[in-house]
Amino acid sequence: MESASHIVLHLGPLDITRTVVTTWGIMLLMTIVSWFIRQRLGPVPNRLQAAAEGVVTALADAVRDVLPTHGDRVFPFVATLWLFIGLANLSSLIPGVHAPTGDLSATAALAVVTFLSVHWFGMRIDGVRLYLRHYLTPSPLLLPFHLIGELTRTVALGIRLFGNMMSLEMAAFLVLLVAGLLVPVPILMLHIVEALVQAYIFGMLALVYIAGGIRSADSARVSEERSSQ
Amino acid sequence: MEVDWTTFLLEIANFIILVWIMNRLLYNPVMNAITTRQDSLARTAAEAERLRSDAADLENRYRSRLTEWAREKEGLRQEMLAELSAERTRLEASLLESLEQDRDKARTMREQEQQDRLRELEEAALAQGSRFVTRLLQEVATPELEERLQDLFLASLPTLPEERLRAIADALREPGVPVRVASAFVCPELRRMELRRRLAELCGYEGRIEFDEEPAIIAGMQLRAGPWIMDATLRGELSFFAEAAHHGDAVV
Repeated sequence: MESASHIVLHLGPLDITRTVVTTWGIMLLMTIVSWFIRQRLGPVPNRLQAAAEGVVTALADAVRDVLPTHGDRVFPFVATLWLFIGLANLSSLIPGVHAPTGDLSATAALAVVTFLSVHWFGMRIDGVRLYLRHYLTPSPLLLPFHLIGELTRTVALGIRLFGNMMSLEMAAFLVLLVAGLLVPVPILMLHIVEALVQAYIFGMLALVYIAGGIRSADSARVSEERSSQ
Repeated sequence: MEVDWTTFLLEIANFIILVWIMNRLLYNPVMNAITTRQDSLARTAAEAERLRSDAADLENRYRSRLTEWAREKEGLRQEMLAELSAERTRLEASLLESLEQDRDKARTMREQEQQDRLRELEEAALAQGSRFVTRLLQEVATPELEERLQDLFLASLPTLPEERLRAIADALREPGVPVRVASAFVCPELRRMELRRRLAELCGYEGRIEFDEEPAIIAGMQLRAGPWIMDATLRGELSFFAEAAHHGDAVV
């Protein structure tokens, strides 16, 4: 079993690992499918368009359920998290392909992106001052705890996804080694469920963090208005 | 379990690019398609609502017109019923009048028929009575009765009106006209002479007079001179009574 950080090629000073190549493959696949769907959009939906609309509408509704007022601005980011992590998790079902989410570098990158997106959306929606002020509410004394919470939940987000996916791959690999060719099939079925669940959990947590940041800023605005009165 | 920073940075970049691509190629087009279709559906629904509203408006106008038509129809029907009632009343009156006329006509005809029948009965009774009396008088007629009737005849001659006597005289003096006297029994010579004398006195006639016996006259005397007939016989009296009844004259 080769490591996910195995270097496949070199682009100048950059060492391209299998994780990055697989990510590119997934990106290429999603781009082609999206382009294909876009080319076939019409006033009367066909099966493909109906399926695409169903998926996109379901994802948008899930986002709007958590964040009704600003769901449309957050939707592309969260929906891409769900789709990309889901496909990345499922990619390990293909023989010889290593899931990018089984690499800590990739999950850490997604966690950091999520971390940054929370602040990005918070500042874009509520303004920088009001957003940063929510770290001081209800009391400035809680600022360290806010910062620790931000850091730990980001680390937990990356580690959780990495641990789950790596353990799934490892378990499937070990069962395959010990029991033979067809025995890991149930494990692979569990892998599918687990892959989708982990993608949903990661995206939903990211959405909750973003919504929490925005609502915290709203709470800070309310407390600021009360103090000004 | 270590972080490769190149991979870490490339993954961040990859994901940001992927968000941009997906937003551009999938999310926005699909959402736009959904929005466009929803707008189209909303327009269609609005158009359908407008059409429905128009249809409801038309329906209301149609119902209003129907109500107006029904009212107008009811008015015309009432007018027609009134006309029919007037016409029926007029026809009934006309029919009643016609029936009354028919009844009057039938009553008149019935009365006429009764009168005719009564007259026929009377005529039949008179005829039968005449026949009976004729048969009876034929049985009981005698020369004495005839003499008595001849006396009445001779006695009635002077009482005739002047114009009639003159007309009889003219008829007696008409040349070639026989003057005949009929009786049921043989007329006695004395009676014949009395007759000649009376005719000579009253009419100035002294010509030939033929005397005949006709049992059919039952009794009495009958003088014939041209168109004139002076009858004083029982047969003549019975015929007179029968004819008088036939012509509607009362016979008492």
